[in-house]
Amino acid sequence: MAEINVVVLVKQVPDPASIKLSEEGTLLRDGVPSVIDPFGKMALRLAISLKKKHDAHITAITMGPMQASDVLRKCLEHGCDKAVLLSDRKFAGSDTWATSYTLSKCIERINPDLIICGMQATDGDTAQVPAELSVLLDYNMYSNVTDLSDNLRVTQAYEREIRTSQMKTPAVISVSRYNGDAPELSSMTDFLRARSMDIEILDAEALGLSYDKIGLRGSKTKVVKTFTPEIRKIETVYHDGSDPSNAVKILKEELNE
Amino acid sequence: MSENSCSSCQSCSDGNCGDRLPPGMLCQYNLNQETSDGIMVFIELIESEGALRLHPSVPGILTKAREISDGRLFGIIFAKVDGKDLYDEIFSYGVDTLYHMRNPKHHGYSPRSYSRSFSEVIKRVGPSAVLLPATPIGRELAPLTAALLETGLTADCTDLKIEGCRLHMIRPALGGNIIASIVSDSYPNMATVRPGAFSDVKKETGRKGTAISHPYTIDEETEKSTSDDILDITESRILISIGNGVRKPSSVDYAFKIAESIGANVSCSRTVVDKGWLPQTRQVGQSGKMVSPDIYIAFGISGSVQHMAGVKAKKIITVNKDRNAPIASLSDTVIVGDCDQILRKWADSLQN
Repeated sequence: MAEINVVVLVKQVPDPASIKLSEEGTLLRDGVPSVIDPFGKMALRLAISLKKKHDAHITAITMGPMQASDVLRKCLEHGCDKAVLLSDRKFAGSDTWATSYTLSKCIERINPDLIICGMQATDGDTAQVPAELSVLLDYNMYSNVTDLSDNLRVTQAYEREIRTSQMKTPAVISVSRYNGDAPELSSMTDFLRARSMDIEILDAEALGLSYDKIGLRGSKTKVVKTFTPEIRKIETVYHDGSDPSNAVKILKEELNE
Repeated sequence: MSENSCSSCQSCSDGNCGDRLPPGMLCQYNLNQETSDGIMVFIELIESEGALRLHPSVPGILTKAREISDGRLFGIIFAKVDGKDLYDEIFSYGVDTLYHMRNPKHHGYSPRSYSRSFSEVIKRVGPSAVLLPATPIGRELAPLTAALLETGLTADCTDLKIEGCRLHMIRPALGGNIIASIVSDSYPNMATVRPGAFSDVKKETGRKGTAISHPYTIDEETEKSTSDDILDITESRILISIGNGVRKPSSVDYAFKIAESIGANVSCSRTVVDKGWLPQTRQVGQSGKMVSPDIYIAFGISGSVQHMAGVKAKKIITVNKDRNAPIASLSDTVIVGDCDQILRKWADSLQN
């Protein structure tokens, strides 16, 4: 049983189930609890599933404010062996390039065989960090991953085809869907163990990063302005569809318009 | 510096940098003007029923690129010799120079080989902007290529504009609640463009261009098997979409029957995927696909922020028991009624 050194990347996002909109259509963030990003959660479950057949050592890493340590604690509870939080005010405003660079500098020290991350985070939706990271570290890239078997055959779902191949390490895999049977809940031993474990916190200085390569200054793209989307003005027409035949008639008329 | 330099930027010689893309680059960096102009578009190809064709998002992207660029328009395809059959069509959408990447062993998309050869061609051509469709392939290839070029990348843009000599890449953020306008300081500016964002297509039949055949290296091998679910929901003009308000599994069969008769396709919300009724390839929304059909018929879909972030339809028709469901106020027409009964009735009416 070979040992696999695994890094799993997670992100702290506002709980999508609790996001509410104001009447003007803006996001109400106050009091919204933070959770592991849904895709990150799949990545975590996939990482943990490797423990069943392999001697996997899993390090969970996140980048964010100090309170992001909450999601790392969750990762430890689920069975990760180590947790690292990259936190520094100088990281603020990072675009995907600066984020990938910062993460790569931390991951370089761990030198894992496999980096598992969610395809994208629900707050940014860019799906760029995994691939950029793979280039910076010179790892193989497998995106849109839906499964990784015990003998490390990787399944990817593109738009029109399903691919399977033997994974070549070192690799970054980004998970788009994973329904594997990894435990949803942590075992009591993991839970208790996790409570006493330390979360390593690293800032820019500890990572030896120069300030012009991180955060807003290290970013290659910049948001120059934001605006609220034009809301399509709609005069909604309501119909009574309690009689299915009538409802079908209305539907057919609507389609023919 | 030549005497007839443009007064605004002192570097471009033709004096109308405002019309070139994005001359901001010349203003700021005074890069080689001979090579740095124009836009390059990755032309994604799909193989269906043995024939090669352009991904449906490509004509719209090329038309937009042509519109915002005063310079040349470059295209790049990866294909065997049969890629030649597409030259005329590609040129008709405004491409001046097409790089046809060839390898006798070509067997479709491969991330490593494509990104390496794509970045080499970009370095050689030196376009000021590079666009790719934001398909699963484009969204993997773009960050790989951008990282090799050490340039910035903006994901999933819904609009592109030239403002004050610069390319503004516009995309929704935070689930579509905010629209952000993004610029890049690094060149080429790179962006992926959401399929369906540019639906206007300008075609000039008989337009000529230059095709350059270029070898590329394949350094990886993958086995692939094609999925059964071949018809892509992002390509349909009409979608019948199933949500949690549809209670009976048989209703899904009715939906397919109806879809077949009206030339539509069947999509769904996340809960339907979680129930195992439909595969994730049919899921609409933030964790599924972005769709932009002419008509979106939502059966029993409540209209969460995450779902609606994936819907950009010209017309939304909702069938729902609850007239106060969030989707109702976003719909053109709401039919208040039982989804299962109505789907069944509709399917039955087709047989008569």
